[in-house]
Amino acid sequence: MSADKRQLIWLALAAALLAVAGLTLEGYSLRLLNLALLNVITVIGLNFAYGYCGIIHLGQAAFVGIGAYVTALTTVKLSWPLWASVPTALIASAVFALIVSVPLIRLKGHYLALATVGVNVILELVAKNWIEVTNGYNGVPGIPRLTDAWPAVPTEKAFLPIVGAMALVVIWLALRLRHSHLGRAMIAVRDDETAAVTVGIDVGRIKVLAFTLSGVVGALSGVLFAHYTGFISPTDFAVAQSILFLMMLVVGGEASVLGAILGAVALTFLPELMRDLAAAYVSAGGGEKDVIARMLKDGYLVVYGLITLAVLMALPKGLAGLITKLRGARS
Amino acid sequence: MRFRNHAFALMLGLLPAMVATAGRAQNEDEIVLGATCAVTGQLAATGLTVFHALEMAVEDVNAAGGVNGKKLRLVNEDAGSSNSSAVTAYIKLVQQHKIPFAFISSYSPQIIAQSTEIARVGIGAMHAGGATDIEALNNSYLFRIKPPDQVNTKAVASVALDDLKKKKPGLIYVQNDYGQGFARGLEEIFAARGIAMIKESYGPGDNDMSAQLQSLVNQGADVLLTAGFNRDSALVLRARKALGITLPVVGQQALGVSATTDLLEADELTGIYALVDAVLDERKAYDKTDFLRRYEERYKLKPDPSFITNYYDGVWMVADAIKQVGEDPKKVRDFIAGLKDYNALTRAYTTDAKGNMTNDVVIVRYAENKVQIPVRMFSALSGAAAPGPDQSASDDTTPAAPTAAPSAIKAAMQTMFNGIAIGCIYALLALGFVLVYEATGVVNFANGQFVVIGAFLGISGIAALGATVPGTMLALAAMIGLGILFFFVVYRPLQTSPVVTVIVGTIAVGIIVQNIGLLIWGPLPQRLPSPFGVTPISVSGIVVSAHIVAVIAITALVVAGLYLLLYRTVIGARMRAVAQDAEAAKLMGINVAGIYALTWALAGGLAGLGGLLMGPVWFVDASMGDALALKSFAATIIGGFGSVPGAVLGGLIVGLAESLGAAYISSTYKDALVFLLMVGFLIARPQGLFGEARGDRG
Repeated sequence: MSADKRQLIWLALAAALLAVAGLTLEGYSLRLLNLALLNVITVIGLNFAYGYCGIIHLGQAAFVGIGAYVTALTTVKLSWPLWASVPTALIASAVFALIVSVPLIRLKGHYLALATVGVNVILELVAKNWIEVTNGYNGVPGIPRLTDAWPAVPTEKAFLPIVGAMALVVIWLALRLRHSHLGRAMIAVRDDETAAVTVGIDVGRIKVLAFTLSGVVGALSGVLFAHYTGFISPTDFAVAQSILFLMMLVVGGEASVLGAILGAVALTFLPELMRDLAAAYVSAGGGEKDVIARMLKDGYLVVYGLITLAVLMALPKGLAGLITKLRGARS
Repeated sequence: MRFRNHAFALMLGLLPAMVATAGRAQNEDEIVLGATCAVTGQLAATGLTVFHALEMAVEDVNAAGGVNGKKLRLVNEDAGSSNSSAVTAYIKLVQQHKIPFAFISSYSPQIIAQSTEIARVGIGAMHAGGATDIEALNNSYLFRIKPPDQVNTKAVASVALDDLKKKKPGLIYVQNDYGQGFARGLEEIFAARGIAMIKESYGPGDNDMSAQLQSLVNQGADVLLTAGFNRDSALVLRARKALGITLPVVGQQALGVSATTDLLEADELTGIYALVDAVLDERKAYDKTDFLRRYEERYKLKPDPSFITNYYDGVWMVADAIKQVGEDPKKVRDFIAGLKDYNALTRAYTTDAKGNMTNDVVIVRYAENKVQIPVRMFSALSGAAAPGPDQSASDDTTPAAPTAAPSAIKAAMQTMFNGIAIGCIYALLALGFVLVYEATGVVNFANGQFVVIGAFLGISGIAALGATVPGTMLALAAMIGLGILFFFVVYRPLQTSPVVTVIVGTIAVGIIVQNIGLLIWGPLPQRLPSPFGVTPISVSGIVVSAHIVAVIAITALVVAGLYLLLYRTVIGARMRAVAQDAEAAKLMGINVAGIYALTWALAGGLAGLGGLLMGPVWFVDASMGDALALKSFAATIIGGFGSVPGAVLGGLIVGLAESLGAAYISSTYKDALVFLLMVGFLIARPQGLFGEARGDRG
């Protein structure tokens, strides 16, 4: 059986599993699943820039935001239909990514990281302060929802097939890309730029492509988010979010589609798992205000940081690398 | 790399297991009251206050016999700091518990985000969000147990025009949902009365508002209005005094709460009028419950009338509703919607068609020792102002602006001086980056959080030792220790990893440090005493304080010291040798590990120094590290990585760009200006003004 066929089989299985989840789970768990799938899309996007190409990208939330804001503002303020607003949002993000990437990719390491932070901060300030257009901090309410077509079905349930299908398509495309000429070129650029140049790879072009692809996939996630929640505001797309996306990728395992999925899912569910643990700890006799209970309940960001650090030190290839290692040891 | 099919299967198998978070069984003899207060993240300051009030109210109701033979139980789901986390919290709450009623956020965007879900499940929700946008949602399940912003704006305008008889109000407001809404509301009210309001704004993370205040004075404002939160409002009042501005200030609730006034000296509150939601000693009911004293004792926080009492009233009200109509959410909602002159502990509540439950605010002014004296009660419903016990307000309104508008040159000089003072603090932080980068080639993204921890340690050190100077020294020593700890625990294990990995590692450390700080010191801003004193003095028309002079002097000393260390000593030569080529340095017999440890110790000390010098000027707040880090990054980029004079010049440029930009270009976009400058430098001249030429290391 070819690798392609195997991929399709696994994707079909994943789709079936999501369908089962959609039929059996209820509101809150479904919401977490939906948010996790949105994060999967965003982080797979980030993987093109950071994982494949080695661009430290601390501005992914800005591209999610561009997608969300363009589609939200065109539908709410200009009453555009979705078939017009969604492509516009994706094209706008691509154009923006192209424009900023051309000067940015000349930078390396921390210079590049700081430049992406700068881009995110500036866009955030515009969204917060250009009140006439963006409505400032109070955000844009009343965005038409994709799930409005099925008013009888609860939002979370109706949205799962949409985001699930999009996530699977993005996963499939990312896997295809990984083994294409372009994907290999990206990895080559990351591993050794000089070597990449000598074998005839246009390093600049590959980096611009990776960055733009990253932005467009992020924007797709933003578009879905806007038409899922019906309300967006600037805080959803802050630098802190960008940092979180990068941590998801690092924890899951950079340069791997599986890693992006694992990291996004694991870190989306982590705070909830910790709160359940806190509840279990308290009901098992632990003090409600003692260090362990507080750490579990309110300290999930500390744990995020510790996990990231531990992965960096002990598992340079993240959770995905761990799984590969375990498989290797078994076979 | 092959597609890892087994791994994928494993992941998909795990998914449902992770998703299946079972709801807790609900006890038959209890009634669950739901809440979504933010208890983590940036909104935790008000979120925790509200949560405490709810917690105490529920206990008091239970102590008084509960409701219909059942006990109340409060379940809070953390709304976090984003809108989507607030919606998630609400969905979790209503799915896992059968609740008759909920108490939600006081942050308007989160309420707007939760609104659809609240209407869908049809359970009443009480909130304290002020925004007019909330009413536009037409959600009949939302109840506002706090005067809406349009009442507050009316009251503020009325004090300025009717009590103080002023003609030219100048508003200084924070650029967030709250400040923006307030500014819009005030503008409309003044416009209706034929008065043009002057306004200036600042960003939520800003530290210096003197340029904006100066600009309002220069434009001829005869009364200042404020709209902000705690730390920023305190900074506005402090800058007002520092600039010698004596115009009266009329502000909203943030000026009336102890979270703000605790940060200030009593004399910084003269001429200040504030809105409060309730004046507590007016109502005898509080004597019975002894609520405020118990609150202070239990949470070690001063109780503030503005949030606590409303939610406390709210719980009793809902308990009463359940007593009368049962636990059916629809009936409880209808009961709350139908309240008319309902007497609670602090006031009488009447719910109007838009879900507003109260339209009364009390206007107070500050007497000696921060004591609030009620000026009058403002009731938007009656439209008229009920006279209060104190009629002296108009006495203060002696005409003529005592603050003569200073000459443009003097104002410009003051603005420049302020810029230099801020710039020095940025420069100190930038030096921390430069030192570490120079020696190890690593950019420490956790530096901003280190600075904040330094300031927090200063507060604890001073409190523990009871004296400012030894406490400050102790904190500095602790920060040097933290630097060494960082070297052993974080840097050494990552030393051989690619630069990218180390950068992500420092980001992770930053998040850990920031949130540990939040857990230990809490979300409220705090004041850090200065060993030099912060009383402002006027030197030929320019206002300075001993502390600011010390900041400038210490920055100069540190710069000189570092320069000498790096370029005139053997240790410095070793540090630079290690930075250039650690392998070669080792071969030359240099103790590379020792040099690294020394570097991190120095970096910790510098961050600590930065925090200890910054704290007395700007107060200390667990969430301010990011803004500080970003500004000092910008300074480092502009000055040039790896250059000591560059860091100083970069810091000064950022400080001046901020203060001059706010004064002469746009107070709204001055931060964008700084970052545009940074991105411009990155693109056109990445090595900055003094830095290294871009090489492989970059």
